Amino acid sequence: MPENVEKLVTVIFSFFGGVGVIGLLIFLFPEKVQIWSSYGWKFLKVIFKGAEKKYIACDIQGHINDYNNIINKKVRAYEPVGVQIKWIEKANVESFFKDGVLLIRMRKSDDQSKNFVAATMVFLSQVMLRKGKRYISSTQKRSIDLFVAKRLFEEEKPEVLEYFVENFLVPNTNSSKQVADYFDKYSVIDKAGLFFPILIQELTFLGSKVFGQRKDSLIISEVKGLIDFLKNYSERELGAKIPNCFNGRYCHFGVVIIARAVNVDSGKIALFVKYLSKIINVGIENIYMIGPDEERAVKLIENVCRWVEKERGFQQYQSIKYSPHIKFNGKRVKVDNLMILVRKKNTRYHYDSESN
Amino acid sequence: MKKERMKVIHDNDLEQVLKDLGIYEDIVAQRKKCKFCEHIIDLDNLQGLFPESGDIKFCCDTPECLEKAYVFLNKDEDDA
Repeated sequence: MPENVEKLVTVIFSFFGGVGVIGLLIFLFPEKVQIWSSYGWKFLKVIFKGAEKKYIACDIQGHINDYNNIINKKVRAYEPVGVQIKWIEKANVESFFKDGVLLIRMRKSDDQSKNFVAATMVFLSQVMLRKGKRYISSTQKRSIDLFVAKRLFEEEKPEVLEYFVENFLVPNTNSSKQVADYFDKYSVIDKAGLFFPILIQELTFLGSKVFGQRKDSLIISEVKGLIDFLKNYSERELGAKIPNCFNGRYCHFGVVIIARAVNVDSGKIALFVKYLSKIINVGIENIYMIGPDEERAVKLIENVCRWVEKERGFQQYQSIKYSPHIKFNGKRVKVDNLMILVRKKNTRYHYDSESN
Repeated sequence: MKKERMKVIHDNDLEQVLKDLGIYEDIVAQRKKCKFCEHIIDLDNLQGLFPESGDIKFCCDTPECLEKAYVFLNKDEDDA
């Protein structure tokens, strides 16, 4: 718990006692409180019939919404949309047709894995990358939903993973080679910690700057190229030089590593200024600056960011600390990194098929 | 966080909801089929229902059909 929150809890506890602290926790961490309460309802459902639905709803809402917060911390462009379970106890023909939505059956909570996975898959298909999904292929969409679902289950509810893998992942990857290929690529990208902060971020940007009914093959093949680019990048050996800019028709970003000891020790930004000028001049709009989360490296990254903000009209968009597993001598090694994304203030928008 | 409603029916309320929609007898008599795999729908394998062109459609409890249902409701399909 952060220090300031801890102080606030102490103050509130002194004034209002336990009730105040519970109120504060509900206010600060509603998803966590819902997860905790699901354990209580699970226990109570044995003796109180009404607790059954409370348990199912709190379990699903708490975990899905909690994971939304996790994604939101990794992807600033992500607009989190949570889930709220609405129980239908009586129906009306008129409103059923008017609503036009899928009513999902929830089984008794002895079968909660089935309920949880079904609700998650339906939910992700509807809200994950809502704008970006308009422009990508069905296999790209499906593979992203499956990968995000897998990460959600790993993080939030590992006990349902087996059911998900057997019943959703394996049938999908067996029946579609494209889905299997994409899923494999996301796994590699995620090892390098780039799945959410770069891939999902760039797809979210894409969804926000392309308009109309565009769903041309160019966007689909560009997304494929973007995924391949990130996969190659994620597989690179420490220090290896490979292309580090993706400059397509819609996505224009570069990854700049600020980590070499000689550069960090010198603390000079000149080398990076030259390189950044070069990539900005060819139209790169988003620059992900990555380096070790160590004092001198962080200082250099921040200085480079300040230069690009001041001199080239960019602005700092996001700063995150993360722990990728990078390749070193053929093996993956965990490191602690800092990533700062700087974005050009006026990015290009695409309104029709003639917009370049 | 903005929230979106997911409408769900608990097993305990399933019979009532199906009766309200006038389809309970059809389900019990196994006169309805899954829109996606054409399997007969009964009270045991029913997983979801949704409206389409003035009719009520059903989806069975296989993951493939549930997936087809949400893909179908998300409409636009295209492939790489």
